Amino acid sequence: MTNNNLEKEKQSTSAKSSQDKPKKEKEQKQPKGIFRWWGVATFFGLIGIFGLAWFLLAPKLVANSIEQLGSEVVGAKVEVANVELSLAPLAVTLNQLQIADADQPMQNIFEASQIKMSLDPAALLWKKIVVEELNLSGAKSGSPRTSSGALEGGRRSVQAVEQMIDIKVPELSQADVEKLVSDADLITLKRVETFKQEQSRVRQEWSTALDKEAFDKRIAAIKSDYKRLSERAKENKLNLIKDRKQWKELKRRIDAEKKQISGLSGKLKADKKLLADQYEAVKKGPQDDLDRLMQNFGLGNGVDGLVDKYLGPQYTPWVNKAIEFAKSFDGGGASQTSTEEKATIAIGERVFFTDKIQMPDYLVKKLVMSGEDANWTLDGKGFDVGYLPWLTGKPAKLNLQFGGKGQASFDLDSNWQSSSKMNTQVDAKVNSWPIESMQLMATEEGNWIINSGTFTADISGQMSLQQINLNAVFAVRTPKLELPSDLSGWRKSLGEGINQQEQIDFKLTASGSLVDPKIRLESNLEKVMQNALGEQVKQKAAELKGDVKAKLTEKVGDLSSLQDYAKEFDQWKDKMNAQLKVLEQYKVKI
Amino acid sequence: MLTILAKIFKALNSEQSPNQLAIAISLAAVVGMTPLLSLHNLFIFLIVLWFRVNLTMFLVSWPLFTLLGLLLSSPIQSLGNMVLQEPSLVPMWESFYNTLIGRWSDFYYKGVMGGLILGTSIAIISFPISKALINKYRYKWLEKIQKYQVVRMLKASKLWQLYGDA
Repeated sequence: MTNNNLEKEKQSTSAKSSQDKPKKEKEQKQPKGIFRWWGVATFFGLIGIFGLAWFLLAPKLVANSIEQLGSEVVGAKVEVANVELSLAPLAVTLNQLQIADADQPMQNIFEASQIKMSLDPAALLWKKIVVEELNLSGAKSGSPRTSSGALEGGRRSVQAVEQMIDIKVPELSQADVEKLVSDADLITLKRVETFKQEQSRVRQEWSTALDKEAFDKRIAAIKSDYKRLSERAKENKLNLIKDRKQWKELKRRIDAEKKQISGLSGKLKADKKLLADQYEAVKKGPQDDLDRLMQNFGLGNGVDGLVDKYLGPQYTPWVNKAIEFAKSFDGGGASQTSTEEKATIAIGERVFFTDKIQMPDYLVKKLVMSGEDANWTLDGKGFDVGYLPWLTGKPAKLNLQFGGKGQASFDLDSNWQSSSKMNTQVDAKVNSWPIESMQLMATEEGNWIINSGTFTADISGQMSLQQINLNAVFAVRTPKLELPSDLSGWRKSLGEGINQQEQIDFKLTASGSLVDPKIRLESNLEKVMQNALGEQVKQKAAELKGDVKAKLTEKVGDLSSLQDYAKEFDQWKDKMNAQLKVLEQYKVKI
Repeated sequence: MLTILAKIFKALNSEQSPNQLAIAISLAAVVGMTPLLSLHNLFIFLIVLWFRVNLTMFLVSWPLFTLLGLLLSSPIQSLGNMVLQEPSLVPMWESFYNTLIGRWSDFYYKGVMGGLILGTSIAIISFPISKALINKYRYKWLEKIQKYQVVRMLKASKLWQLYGDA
C-alpha cells in the first residue's frame, strides 16, 4: 500500500463523511427504538424454515436411524424402503422393512410389508414415545433378497458356531507316551514313599514295645522274687503270712506286665489297619496315575469324558448367547448416567432425576401383527410393551399364534410391579411342525440339512429378577439328514448316527438368577456323538492306555514286596502271646 | 483473522451504544459455552434478533466463545455434575425436570448445566468490563489506534469496504 493510496483513501473518506453528515444528524435526531421488529420476523421465519426442513427430511432421518441401529443390533443389513410421517393424526409408517439373515445373507430373517404406528402427541411433549397402536402386516420369513445382507466383518455368534463345529479329535497315535510318563509327577511314587515312612515308624515303635532283652530282665526279676518267696514258704508256712505283702507286690507286677502287653494288641490292630489302608492306596496308585495321564488326551473318563471335553454345553453357542444376553440385561435401569452427544459442545452425561410423569420412555399400548408365507400364518397381539417396563403400570402381554403346516403359540406375560420386582411367565409350544430343508449346522465340508422330520417344542417357565425357572424341550422326530458328500471320519459316523435316530431332542433347563444363570443342556445327540467318536477312538485309546500302563509299571517298579508288611504284624503278635504265656504261668503258681 | 479484526473494529467504531455491543458479547458467551441445540439458546437468538443487540459483535464473539467452551469442556462437565448432584439442589432440579420447559431444556445434561453456569458467569462479568473497555476505546484509544500503520492499512483494504456496512 503506497502513501498515495492512503491519501486518496483519506480524501474519499472525508468527502463521504461530509456528504453523510446531514443524514446522520437527521438519524440521531430520530432515535431508533429498543426493538428490531424485522428481527422477530426473521426469527420466526428461520424457525419456520428449519421446521419445514426437518419435516421434509425427518422420514429419511428416521429410516437411516432404524437402518443403522437395527443393523448394529441384528448383525446384518436392516433396510426400510420408505418412511411416512403424518401430523394429524400423528403417525409413522415404515414400508417394506427387511431384516437380513446374518447367517444366510441372501435371504431375510424377517420382512414386513408395513408397520404403522399411531403416536400419542401428549406423551411426545414429555419426550416420551407412546405408540397407541402398532400394526405390523405382511410379515414374512426366509424371503429371498436381491442383494447380500451381510455386514462387513460378520457377527460374533457365527464365529461361535464355527468354533462348536470345528471339533478336532485328538491325534492319539502321535502321543509321546515315554516323555509323558517320565515327566509326570506320579502319585503312586508319593504313596509308596509315605507307606515306607509309616512302616519304618511302626517297626521302630514295636521294636521298643517288644524289646526282648528288657522283657527277659523283668521276667528274670519276677522269677527270682518268686523263687525266693517260695523257698521261704517251704521253710516255714507262717512265712506266707509274713511275706503276704511281697506276694501281693509280685502279683501286681505280673498284672502290670500283662496289662501292658494286652494294651499293645489295640495298637497292633490300629497300626495294621493304617498300613493296610496305605497299602491299598499304593495298589490303586497306578490306576489313578493312568487315569490322570489319560486326561491329557481327553480320555480321563474314557469316551464319555472325550465327549464332555469336546461337545460339552460350554460349546453350545446358543447357550453362550443366552448367558451373555442375560448378563448384559440391566434389570433395574440403575445406571446413574448415560451419554448423548449433541451439537458442537459436548452435551455430556445425563443425570437422572425422579420422573413424576408416570409414563415409560417407550411404550406400545397395542400391538397387532399379521403375516403369512407359503408354510405359515401369523396372528399376534400385544399390550403395554414398554421401557422402562415398571412405568407402564400394567403387565406386558404378548400372544403369537402360528398356523399353516403346523401349529405354534407363544405367550408372554411380564409384570413389573416395581424396578426391583418382576415376574415374567413364558409359555411357548410348537406341535409337530413339518421340517423341509432346514439347516442343522454348517461345517467346512458343507451344510447339514434336515430334509424331513417334524419339529416339536415346549418352553415354559417363569422368571423374576431373583430367580429363573425355565424348562425348554425341543425335539425333531424322524430326522432325515442330508450330509455333505465329502464328509468322513467321525463326522460321517455322527451324521449316519443322527439319521438312525427316531428323535433328536434337546432339554434346556435354566435356573439361578439373571445375573448368574445356571444353564444345563442335555441331548441324546451326546450319545450319538459318543458312538460316532467311539468307533474311531476306542481302539486307539485302548492301545494308548496299554502303552501308558507299561511305562508306568516300568517307572514305579515292583510293588509286590510291600505286601510283606503283614508278616511282621504276625511276628509281633506271636511275641506278645509268648510273653503273655510266661506271665500267665507265674500268675497261676502264685 | 483479519476478517474478525475488521469486523470488531467496525463494530467498535459504529455509532451503536456500548450497551448494545457489551450485551452482544455477553449473550455470545452463553451461546458459545453451551451446546448449540438447547432451548435457552433459542431464547437468546430471539433476544438478539428482537432487541437491538449488535449482530456483528454477537456473530464474531460466538465462535470465539465456542472455542473457549471446547477447551474448557472437561471442567464444564465437572461443574455441571457438581451442581446437578448437589444434594440441597436436587429437589429443585427434580421439580424443574417435571415441567415441560425443564424436560426440553436439557439442563439435566452435565455439559448443558456446566456450560450454562460458566457462560452466564462470563456474561455477567464481561458486560460491565466490555462496556467500560468500549468507552475507553472510543474516548481514549481510538485516535491513537487509528494512527497505527496496521489499522490504516486495514481501513484502506477491500476487507474494510466489504464489512464496512455490516
